[in-house]
Amino acid sequence: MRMAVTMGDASGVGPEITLRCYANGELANDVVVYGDAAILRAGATLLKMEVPIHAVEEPRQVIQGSLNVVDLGLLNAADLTPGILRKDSGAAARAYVERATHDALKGEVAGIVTLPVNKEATRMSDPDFIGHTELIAQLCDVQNYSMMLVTDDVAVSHVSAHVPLTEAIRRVTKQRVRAVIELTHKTLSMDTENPRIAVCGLNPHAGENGLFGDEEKKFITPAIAETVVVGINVSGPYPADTIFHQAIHHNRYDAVVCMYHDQGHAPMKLFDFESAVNVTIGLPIVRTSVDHGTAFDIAWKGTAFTNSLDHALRYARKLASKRHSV
Amino acid sequence: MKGNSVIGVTLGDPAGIGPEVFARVLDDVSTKCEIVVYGARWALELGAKIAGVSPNARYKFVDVGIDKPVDFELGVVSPVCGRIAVESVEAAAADALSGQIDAMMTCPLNKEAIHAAGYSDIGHQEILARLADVDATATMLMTPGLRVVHLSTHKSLIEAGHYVTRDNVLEKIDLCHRTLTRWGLQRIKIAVAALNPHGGEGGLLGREEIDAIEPAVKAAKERGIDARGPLPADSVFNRAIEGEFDVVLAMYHDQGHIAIKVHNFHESVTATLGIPFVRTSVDHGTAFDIAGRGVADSRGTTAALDAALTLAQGALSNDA
Repeated sequence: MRMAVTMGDASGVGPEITLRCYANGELANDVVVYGDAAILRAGATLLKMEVPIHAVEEPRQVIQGSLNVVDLGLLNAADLTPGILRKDSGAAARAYVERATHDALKGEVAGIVTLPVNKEATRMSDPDFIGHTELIAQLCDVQNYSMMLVTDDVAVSHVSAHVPLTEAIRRVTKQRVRAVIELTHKTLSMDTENPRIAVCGLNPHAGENGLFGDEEKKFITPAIAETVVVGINVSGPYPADTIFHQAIHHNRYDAVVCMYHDQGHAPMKLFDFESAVNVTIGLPIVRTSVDHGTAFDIAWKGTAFTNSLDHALRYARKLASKRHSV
Repeated sequence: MKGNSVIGVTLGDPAGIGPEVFARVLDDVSTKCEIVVYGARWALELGAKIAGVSPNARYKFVDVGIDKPVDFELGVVSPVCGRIAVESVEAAAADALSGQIDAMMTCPLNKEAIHAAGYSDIGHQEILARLADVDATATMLMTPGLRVVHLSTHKSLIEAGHYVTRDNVLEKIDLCHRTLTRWGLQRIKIAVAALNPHGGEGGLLGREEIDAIEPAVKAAKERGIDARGPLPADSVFNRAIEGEFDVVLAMYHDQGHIAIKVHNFHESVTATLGIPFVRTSVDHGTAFDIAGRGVADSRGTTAALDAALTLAQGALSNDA
């Protein structure tokens, strides 16, 4: 089972984390990197590491005992400029993801783990670029997906992610909430029988019976009722300020469905900043990501945390193996 | 400093957990303050019985003089209990306004019960604003290590979003700075949270940061206030907990409440800004489902009483 790792923006921590994980023996032979071999070779020299890098054109050409790279040949050694925002490295980072997604759709790799792109850099060549999640969903031609954050304790999925808050409120519809409950159920069912799902309200106190907003009555409660009918173990809407405590400290729920980006992201970062894995659910392929950015300020200094790549790879392998066994 | 501070405590709705929890707190009260209890005496006696304590701490009692309803039942909405709760708050607020008590700490009231009693207020903060004749109030939540003031609280999310204007944000930064200075903080560093994901990403994910929050922060700085922001809501609270800021101004109810309750569920305390006296409260409701069972957690009430004393003495510390 080959797993793709896209190395991310060359100026950021992605390629460095890739090299250091390989050197630490944390990248199994089943990993194939999508990126630029020239950057990885120059980076290994910069970090004074000896990493055997094997450039291939197709993922099936990988060999044992090397860090295999599907080499897109977009950047040269001279383009390794730590911490510098560049149009070419931003465009290259996007290209690695595009190629890996196509290979995953063809079945050449069992899943993709993405290292960070720098949005500002990528937008220099693609002004409409919002993020990995949106790009991959678009390449897969899927509208019905959701961003999920996973830790050992709980999974949190989102009805919307990278949209303005006023737009996020408009996206709280019965159909969409129902779809995200179903996607969450389907994903968690891979390793948890009858997963317990809690759904957040949108408004303070989950609307307090219509006193502070009616989206709960109009959309969220009916969506929950419909998914209960089809046998999903789901309940709510619950006030968003108490449900995380119930889910995590009292282990009452396996997943929480959130109505907007910060409703899920803020508590997850307060609970478990280091180990959260970002998973896109609802795609025809497996895709996970580390939950941090390019960190230009510390890139290529040998200090970036490498744990999150390990977490993201492990979760991707788990999803991929369940998918294969079905 | 004059002698001991005098803290007025309202017992809240007699059918809720307020009286039983406070009876337990009263059993083990700090000697650094004098307590005046406002409510129905029968409710405190019942609470003490449920909690299994016989408080011998010295306290004064101001009885609102309303008898126990014949059909009284713990955990059930009653208009008489709603009236007791509101009249207790009214009596305590009158004493706070005239300086007879230095601060008040309120036990929970039940919104349905006060509506059944004919009051249109949403909660304590609205009652107190009415009694003190002020309109610019704000709710602060505090736990060890994190303080959050809210731009708005009891509004639907869409209305809360519309409330994010330059003037509203600036007014709350200013209120926050003035009040926390009076309560003892020094060289206050205020972080202002963003409304949109990733702080709006330069307008790509919403314009409120550019149109309202940034101009408000700039104007606050011109007034000499150390304000920073807008900062993304999924990292600003971590930074405040690590000590970078003394307080975070949250743009809506759940933004602040989620952070506080995830950080420290049991010891969060509410304080009201913008009224002319100190008022704190425990950050939970009447919990009718467990009222009378003697199992309610009293940590929050103890923390609220301690906080009332600290704020009344202007002894809030940047490190706490």
